[in-house]
Amino acid sequence: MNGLPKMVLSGAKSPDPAGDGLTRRRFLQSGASLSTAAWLGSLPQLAHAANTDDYKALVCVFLMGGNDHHNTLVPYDATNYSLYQKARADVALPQDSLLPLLNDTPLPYGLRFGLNNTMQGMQTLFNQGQMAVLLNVGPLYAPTTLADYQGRAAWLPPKLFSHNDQQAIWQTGALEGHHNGWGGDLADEVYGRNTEAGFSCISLQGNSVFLAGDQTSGYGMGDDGVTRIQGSNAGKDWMFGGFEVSTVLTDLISTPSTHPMQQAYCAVTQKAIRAEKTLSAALAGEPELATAFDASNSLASQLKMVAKLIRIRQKLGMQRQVFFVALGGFDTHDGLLSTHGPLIGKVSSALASFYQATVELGVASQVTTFTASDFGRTLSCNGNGSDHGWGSHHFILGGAVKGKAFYGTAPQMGLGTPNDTGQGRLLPSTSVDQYAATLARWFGVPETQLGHVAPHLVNFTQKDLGFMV
Amino acid sequence: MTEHLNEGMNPPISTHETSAVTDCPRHSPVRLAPPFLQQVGLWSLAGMALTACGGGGNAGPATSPTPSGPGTPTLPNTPTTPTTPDTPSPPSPPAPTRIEASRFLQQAAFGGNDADLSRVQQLGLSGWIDAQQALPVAVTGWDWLMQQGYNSSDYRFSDQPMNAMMWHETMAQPDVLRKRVAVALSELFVVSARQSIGEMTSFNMAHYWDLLNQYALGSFRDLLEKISTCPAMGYYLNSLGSRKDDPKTGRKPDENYARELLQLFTIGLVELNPDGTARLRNGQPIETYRNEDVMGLARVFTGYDLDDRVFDTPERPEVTRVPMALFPNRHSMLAKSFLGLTIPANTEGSASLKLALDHIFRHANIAPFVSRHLIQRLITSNPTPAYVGRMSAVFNDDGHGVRGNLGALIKAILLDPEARLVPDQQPAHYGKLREPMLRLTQWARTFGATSADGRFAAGGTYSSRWSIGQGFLQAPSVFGFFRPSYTPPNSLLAQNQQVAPELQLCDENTVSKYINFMRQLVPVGLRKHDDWPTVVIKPDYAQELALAGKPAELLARLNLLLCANQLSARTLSLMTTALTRMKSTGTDWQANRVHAAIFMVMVCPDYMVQR
Repeated sequence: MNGLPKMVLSGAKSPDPAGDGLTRRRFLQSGASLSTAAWLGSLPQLAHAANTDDYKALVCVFLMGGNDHHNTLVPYDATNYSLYQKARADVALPQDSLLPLLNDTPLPYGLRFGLNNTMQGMQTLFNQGQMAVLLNVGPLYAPTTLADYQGRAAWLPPKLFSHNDQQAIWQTGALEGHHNGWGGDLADEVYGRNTEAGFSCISLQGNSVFLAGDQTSGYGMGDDGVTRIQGSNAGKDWMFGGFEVSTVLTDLISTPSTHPMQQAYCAVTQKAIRAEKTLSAALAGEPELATAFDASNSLASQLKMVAKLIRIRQKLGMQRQVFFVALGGFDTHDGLLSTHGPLIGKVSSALASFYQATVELGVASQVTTFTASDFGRTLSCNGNGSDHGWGSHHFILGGAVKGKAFYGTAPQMGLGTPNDTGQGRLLPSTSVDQYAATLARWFGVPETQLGHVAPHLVNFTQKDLGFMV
Repeated sequence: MTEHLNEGMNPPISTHETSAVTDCPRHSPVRLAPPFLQQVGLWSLAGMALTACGGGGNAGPATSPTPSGPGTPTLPNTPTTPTTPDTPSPPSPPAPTRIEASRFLQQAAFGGNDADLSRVQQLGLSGWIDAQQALPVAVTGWDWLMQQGYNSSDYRFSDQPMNAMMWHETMAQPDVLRKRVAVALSELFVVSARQSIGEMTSFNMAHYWDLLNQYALGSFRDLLEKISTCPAMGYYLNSLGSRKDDPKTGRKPDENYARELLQLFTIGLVELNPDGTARLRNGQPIETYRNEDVMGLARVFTGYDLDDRVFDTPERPEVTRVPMALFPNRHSMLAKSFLGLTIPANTEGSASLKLALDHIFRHANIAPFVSRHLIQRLITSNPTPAYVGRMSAVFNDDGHGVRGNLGALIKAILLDPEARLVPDQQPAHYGKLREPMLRLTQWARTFGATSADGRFAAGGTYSSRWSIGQGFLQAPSVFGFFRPSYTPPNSLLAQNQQVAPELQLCDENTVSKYINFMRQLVPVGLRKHDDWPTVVIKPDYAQELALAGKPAELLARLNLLLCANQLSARTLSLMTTALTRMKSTGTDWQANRVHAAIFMVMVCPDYMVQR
């Protein structure tokens, strides 16, 4: 998400709300390399082909629709629970159902947090020290007070509370339509370290702007594995009564024409054909993972595929990878109690299996998984659900995470607090930029390049939130 | 927005095209030289007069959102009557060629067969549109589900009857213009059966689809009111069951419908000029609303729930096709303030709804917002601001002082000079990627695919694991299948700040799945939803089979019908080579050649973009 003008606090300009005007510059900088070049031409920097296992992966788990953080992480101490219960009314969880988190360092206001009772897996991970919680994080371009918000300060992120735009801001730092995400930016910074650079960024959830960088574009695959185009084995695939069609098919479907939409479509097809051959070869003969994943849980199936891809990292010569997985259904305007628990339970179960798989593969400390979502939600209830908010709580998981602890600033519980922009929509106290920069530093992005990944970091004092070793 | 080809950045093959466009006068004098978008004003000089409906031209600089007055008449609900105003006819153009007819049917319908092309030639484009607008809805989707016996508790939460209904609607009904526009509207006012839509999900969805059809060529204002009170929408965006503020518990009205009505359905997030470009203040876009506006509008949509006065059973699911009822004691009687309007306290529900929708309908953004959406769905992803501006003018006034006449708007969109640019005249990025579900429908329409038992009980296609990743009325969220501003990263399109929304559906997984799907589909047809080997929607390739021995003629026919002669010489040559080498003896050789030819055309990049 670089390319956004660095914001000057005293200035009245908000940073590039239209989200335009940056790709052009980055194209100029990068010599306008189209991403397919990496796939079709010579592979860059083969010298780095990894015998040593210098490997790190970041896995973004996106909760589509805006996770209700208030019913994910719930205060269970008497004082704060009663504030919670009063504000949440009909959608409050029972106090005795919560799964306590045993942090060593106490939180202010006497806050003790527990998890939704569907989240046993994540409770265990937290209490065993592999998971941390980042409190009240959200899009911010600069430190912002409630007075700034109410006075409509110039530097507020635009289009708050809108799903698609807040998803985009979480993923790119700019509005929908912006072309670069910070997952892609991260991969750009370490691009040369991967032999099969086209697998630097992999999405299990279709096209994701999070994974789009200048050199990297996300490679899309399904949780069912790699799909081979029937007929792509030229002259060897039998179809329509002979080999004649497969003889021409690859040429036919992957030759660029002059139309830019056809070119873009062909670029995807080319990648699909080449990547399938590479991945199928690398995956062949790999045994099943011993770790069990719930086959009825879409997020678990996606993370299982990620684990399988991590296992073949050395065959592909990968040193740094960014993955994107997602689960939908979090827009709980309605039926919050009946839908949210099972849904966040799926996240918990999937993350627990995935962490176990990284242990099985011996890469637990090399893989960091983190959650993100459109926004948090209102604390007050709209009858049987909650509405769009802003700040939210998120989870970071992995052997390199300083777990069993809370990071960021705990917001005061209840309505009408200093962080309440209305109905308990939290004004974030920590920026997504700080979140991204902390992960980027661990990933190996040099200090001088952090601004590329997190352009607003310059406006915040705390550059590293401290949750990574 | 500046759009121009940047020669220095093009890959070699595009540089060639660019120089050809710039330097080579091989085309007719009306050819538009780049930068295309700055030159559209020359159209009138080139003798490409606007159609009668499209008159009004490019509106001047916008002012702040300007009401067109509360007295603006809206259309009566007469969906079976032509709603196009009888404007003076321009001098009648020459009959369209078969290529033009085919191209037109891909924009205005789902493609067509020989007879469909002939009909367009016979009536002319304008006459064909008029004839289509006069066609009644033969049978509503809801009634069809009843006729087929889906009114049973077996189907309570199933979307399968809806899939069958949509195959029947899009593949077998004669009012194709209405159907194509209704599909486009279903991608604006998204309700999706990816989640259950109440009890009797398919009937709820069918009624919603019927409303889109009923008003697709009628009044936008009436359509807004119908969808705002339709149970399917109530379920999807939670206005069903939303209640007034409760100061005791702190309960607030549900904001979901209010927010998406503004953001996605009508005015969008930033103020627009009539030509669809963003209005700027101090160089920055101006947001149309704040959360306070959403909270104010949310009060308007309180008090609605299923109409409990209606007798309703799975065998007779009437409640799915009557508007939600307003329960006055649950409706907010507080003042409702949004977008500069305050509906006074103690205004009852139905009056509040009318005032609110009238106010939204008067917003200056609606015309460019809706026009641009429909142009993108039917014609081209990157319309010029001038094209959007001409359509905004028609939306604002159809020539008879009527605002929001969708029939007039659709006719203007289809007959606009920019829609009618033939390939030689088009800028390099013109057109749109064909949506996977529309490719499938085109296959059915072109080859007369039918369901022998009339039930069209084929499976849905939304799964990107098992199918093509897109299905009618099954978007993944209220944001639809793709966003209007999507551009593939690291592409020439991104570089030129052009969009290709449909490409958001295309990743390595889905492009592969589509090809494999077509390989299965073309030889046999669409399979039954719950019985994989059984094929229920079968094509008729009789005319193609007659050409199996003449590959060049076979391909010429497919080239015309499927993509209005867009296949390049190179593509045709590759296909001809493959077909000519295929066997010309044995039992299935004709069928194999025909299947191979259709398959190759429908997966090749030249076909993929509707130009």
